[in-house]
Amino acid sequence: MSWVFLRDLLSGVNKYSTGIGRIWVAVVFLFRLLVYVAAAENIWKREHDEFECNIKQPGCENVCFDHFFPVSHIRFWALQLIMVSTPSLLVVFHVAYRENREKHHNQKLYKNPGKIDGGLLCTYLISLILKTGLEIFFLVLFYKLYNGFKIPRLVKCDIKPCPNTVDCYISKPTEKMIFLYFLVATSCLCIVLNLTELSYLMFKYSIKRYLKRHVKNQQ
Amino acid sequence: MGEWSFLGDFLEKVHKHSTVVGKVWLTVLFIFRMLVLGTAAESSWGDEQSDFMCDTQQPGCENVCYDKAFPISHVRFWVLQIIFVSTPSLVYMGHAMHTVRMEEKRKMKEAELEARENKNGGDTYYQQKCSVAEKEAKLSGWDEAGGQIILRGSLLNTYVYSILIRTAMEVAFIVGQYVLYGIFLETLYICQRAPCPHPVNCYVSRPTEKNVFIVFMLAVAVLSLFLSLAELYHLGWKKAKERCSRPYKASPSTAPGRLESAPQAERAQMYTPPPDFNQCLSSPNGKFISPFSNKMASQQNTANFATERVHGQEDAAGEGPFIKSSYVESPEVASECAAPAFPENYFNEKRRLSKASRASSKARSDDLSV
Repeated sequence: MSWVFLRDLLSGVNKYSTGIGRIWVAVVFLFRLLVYVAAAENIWKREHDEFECNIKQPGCENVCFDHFFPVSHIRFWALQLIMVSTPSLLVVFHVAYRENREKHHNQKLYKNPGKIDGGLLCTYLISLILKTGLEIFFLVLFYKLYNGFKIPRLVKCDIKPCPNTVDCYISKPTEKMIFLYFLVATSCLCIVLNLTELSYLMFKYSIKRYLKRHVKNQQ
Repeated sequence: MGEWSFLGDFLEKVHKHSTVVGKVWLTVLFIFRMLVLGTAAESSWGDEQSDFMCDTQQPGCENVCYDKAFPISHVRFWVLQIIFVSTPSLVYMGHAMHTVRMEEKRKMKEAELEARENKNGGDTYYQQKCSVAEKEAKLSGWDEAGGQIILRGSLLNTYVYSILIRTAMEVAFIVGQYVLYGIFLETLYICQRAPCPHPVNCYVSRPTEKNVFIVFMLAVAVLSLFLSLAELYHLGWKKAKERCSRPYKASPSTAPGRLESAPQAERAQMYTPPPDFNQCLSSPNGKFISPFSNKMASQQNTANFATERVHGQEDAAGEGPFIKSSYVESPEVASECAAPAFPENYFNEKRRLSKASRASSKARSDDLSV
């Protein structure tokens, strides 16, 4: 699975971000993307093969695995990473639109097309809200799907064709839990960063507007 | 191995702006840790669970025994170690980049301020020179691609803290690995955990090969720790040396050309003229810092140097103020045009310095000047 595309995308976003935005990109790269690719993928690589039930009945293992893992953790996180990075594209598109407009009219319409003000500020704020919303959505969804942030060592399964309640053993539960907590923690960190950036931008620009009005009134 | 390019790209920038020991540390990290992990260690641990055999037919027993024997695989542990050990350097890099940007913004604002004052009718010659030099300083002083970040003040503190945290992380991970697994891996692991009906013998796959890599990675971690400590010692010793030698020197030793009395001393310290380049060339530790790239500038600088000498500048031979000022924790030696209010006489004296000398006041050596 090639994540280079996402990396290039986020590098482009880095140009038009605030300082906190850059920290967010660094956290996503290092603590989520890199950990996912270098470590987490290998842990979940053979989860189905290594999932063992205490029964010889054919098909029982398959249905039990499917019941307990409707979406594998690793695919869930991949989806989360992609969805959470995508709103930043809005900012890139908006800047490209501004630059196109300048080219089209053949004159300098904006002091600096990449500066976060006016319409671009709205787009940036929307992207922040979307990112935060998606992070929270995925965390809540994970919690609901897997009944909390835990990976048990043993699960009991009594779905047909299993003839009785069978014990099924998940492979590497401790290691999976460590990385689960790690990725949940970085997800929460990203939420905190996004909210900080949101409040910082709103505060900064409301102060600017207030000062402008104040100066205008004085004049 | 491609996955490490995510981290590699970030660390490339750090590599540019590190000291010699820092660069060695980064090279060790790249080659002996990332490369070895990505190529050799991964494949050695590839079949660790599938070939983990327990002497039992009880379903689920192998799973639980493997989980008990290896709460976290060595490979994943090392991945986390590399990430956590690299993070402080990235924090330092972030601070450095932030400082560079703030510096650029400040200079641009000052250029605008001077231009505005020019309109209101200040000293025309002064303003013109100032704005031109301002632009040149802006272009040359903090250029990420070609220039150098000079370690001083808060940036030096960040660098030192980053090395301290890095050292702490290394120690933590080395101790953690010892606590989890000891040093060597045993071939046989005896496991007693439900649903295993009795203590079972479990056999680890490829124990010797894994031991080789474990010892190798431990040795590299210890080497990295040693390099971090060496860097700390190098920085600390130099700083202590500077602090000790300062009381014994004449006043202009740390800030050449400080002619002001105490109230203005701080401002003067901030806005001293460019350092004596000839003394930069003859730095005591043998580091060649070539601040200029053309002969004319060097000739001009020699003349300036002579002029400055005439005006009573004293500098101890063999101690470059350029290098010394790196350790001063007081406000950074900024560009000469930074002060809006300058004592006129003072400034006019130094104004004889050429544009070229001012523009060429950046370090060009490969290493970070500390």
